[in-house]
Amino acid sequence: MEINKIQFKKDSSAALKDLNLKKALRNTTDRFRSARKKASEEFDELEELRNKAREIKSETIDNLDHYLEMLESNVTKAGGKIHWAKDGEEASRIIVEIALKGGVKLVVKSKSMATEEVELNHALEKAGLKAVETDLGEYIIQLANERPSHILAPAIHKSKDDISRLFSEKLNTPVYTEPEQLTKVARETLRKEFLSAEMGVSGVNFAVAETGTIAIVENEGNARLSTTVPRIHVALMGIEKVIPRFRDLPILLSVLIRSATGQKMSTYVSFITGPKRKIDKDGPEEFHLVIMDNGRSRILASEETRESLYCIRCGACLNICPVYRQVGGHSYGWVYSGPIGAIITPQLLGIEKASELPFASSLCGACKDVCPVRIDFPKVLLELRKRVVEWKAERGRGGAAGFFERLGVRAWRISMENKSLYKLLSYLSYFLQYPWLTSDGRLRSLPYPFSRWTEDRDLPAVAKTSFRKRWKEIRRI
Amino acid sequence: MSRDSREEILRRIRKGLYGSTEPKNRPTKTKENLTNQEPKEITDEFLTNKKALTVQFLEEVRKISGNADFVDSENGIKDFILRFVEERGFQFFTVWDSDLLRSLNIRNTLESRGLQYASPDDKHEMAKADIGITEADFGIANSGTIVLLANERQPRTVSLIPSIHIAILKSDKIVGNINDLFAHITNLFVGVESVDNITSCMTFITGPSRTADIELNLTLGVHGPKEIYVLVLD
Repeated sequence: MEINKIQFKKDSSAALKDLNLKKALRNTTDRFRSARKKASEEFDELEELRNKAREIKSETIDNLDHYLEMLESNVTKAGGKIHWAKDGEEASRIIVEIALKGGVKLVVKSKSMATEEVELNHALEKAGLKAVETDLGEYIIQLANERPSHILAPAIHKSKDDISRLFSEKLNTPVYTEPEQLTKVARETLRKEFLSAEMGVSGVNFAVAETGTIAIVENEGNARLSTTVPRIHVALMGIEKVIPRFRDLPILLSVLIRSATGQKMSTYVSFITGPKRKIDKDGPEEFHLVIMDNGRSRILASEETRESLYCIRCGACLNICPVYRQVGGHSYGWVYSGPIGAIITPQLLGIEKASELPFASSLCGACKDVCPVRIDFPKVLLELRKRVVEWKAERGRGGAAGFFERLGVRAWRISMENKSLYKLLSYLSYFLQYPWLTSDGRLRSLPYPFSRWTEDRDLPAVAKTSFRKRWKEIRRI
Repeated sequence: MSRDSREEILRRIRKGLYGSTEPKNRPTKTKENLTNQEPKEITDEFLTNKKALTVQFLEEVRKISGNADFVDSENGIKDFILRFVEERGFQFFTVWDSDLLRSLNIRNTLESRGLQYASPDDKHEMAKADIGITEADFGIANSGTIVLLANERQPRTVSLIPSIHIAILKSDKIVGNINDLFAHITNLFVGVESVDNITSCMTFITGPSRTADIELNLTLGVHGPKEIYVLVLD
């Protein structure tokens, strides 16, 4: 499906006015943040593990073709089938074909960003199949026909009353008041789907090249059910999800889980190697692993931004980001939001579609501080900003800087280079501010171009005595 | 078609990394010795003591809303199960056919008490089971995790479909942390002759199923079992 040009500025302005969303986002990100912080404090080795995790990822990405071939060989040896998809459309097509070939009518899906990237549910429905999201948060927003607002807790913008009404409307249940009751409804309703679905689709947290094993991390149990009960299991992964050795798993699992939710261990981790063995009593008869490119090889080819592929999708960067915390996921316009969305969406969809995203950041670097694989977000964001400027220049927009920005930078340079001019301007600004100074000593609304600051924030008043002067006086004492 | 996509993707990757579309000679940058670089062990020397590991394990399971008990004899296990099943008034059960459970004769005993056995071959029968009883192949002390390896006598759905799960863990199978665990199990996955001897599914289970998707309220028992009981056998 064609993605429209992402309008971060417009959508985030709208999001800022949504007080309910803001409250929910703050609660969610605070909760995840303090859990992650607690986990890292209790776990001294975390810093060392992060270094090792980055090493593993960098070794993998630098030799990606080698490890993908190894993965293919070992999954095949284990009785699984490998499919390669150049892009999202091909990935969807392959999965639909597997379903149609297997006489599938109902598909149960566990949480997978990759499947949302390729809009798999849409493709399945178009082919006449029913696809049900089984992760509780995803199930709720599927019923509500909405998009997720947070990578780990997609329905966080919905209150329990919203959900209660939604269930009673769509599932004909009484209007419940407690989360336990609502969860029970979801459990019973989805149980029927798990037991009748012919195919389960999952994502992949890590795919081990050495053994052909995929690892899936979860808390609810829906991934286990989706990958165990139906006859066919299809797993979709981006090419960057492969890791070299079985022994790399404990390192990556530890950093993933602690960075994502602050837990020591998620409730369930499944390590799946091929379909069921012939003599097993349960488990899927068929295991398919779809390895998808969809723009990742383009990121790979760019040395400056290649580390974007190290991402293990933990969500820690979202929870720490001062921008994301305010506006939530919808403003980023696609399935990936927060800092990781700001760097991979422009690279996967193209600069033209997402030129505002590299600027959706204050470059504070908090994301780099918490990233379990130490992605240097600010470096990548700056590189992408450079590309946006170059792209705009190509299209005759004379560089990305507008007239006022260039004028302002020039004025700044001149006043900074000339000491007396600077002193004079500082002195004068105390008087010049007078018409806009409020009774409580704030500058609430300045004229253009300063209004671009004061629209959203107040500036403090310019002091009577400059710091330089006061420092001189203090030192004399 | 998938063949062409395969070649195309590999071509793109090679071009992007090496500037040429020919596969590189290996190994040049692959750190084969990374496997031998063990991450620093978190386990204290003190904790390699079986008793200490058991105590830590029990504590951790309880911390995450699981139930854990230390049982000093095989009869104790049997008594617990019978009492539990009676108290709850269960009618259907399912159980692994592993060595310990076979020697404890759990299946026959429960059937003789009037309960019906649900076979993992049949998912609709399994859906009726009130309780699933398994062993645990390993336990991880610092997280309260049990490790289950699937095979023909240890089906996956026994610990998954019923709402209540009882797992019996021998205390000498408890290791300190996830690194210790992988030190023990890697040889079950790497360098194994025939894939028939590699488990199709290894599962880590840490407490009951949970979610915080509704207003961040922690709720237990979403899709997986609502309650878990780990019986640690001396």
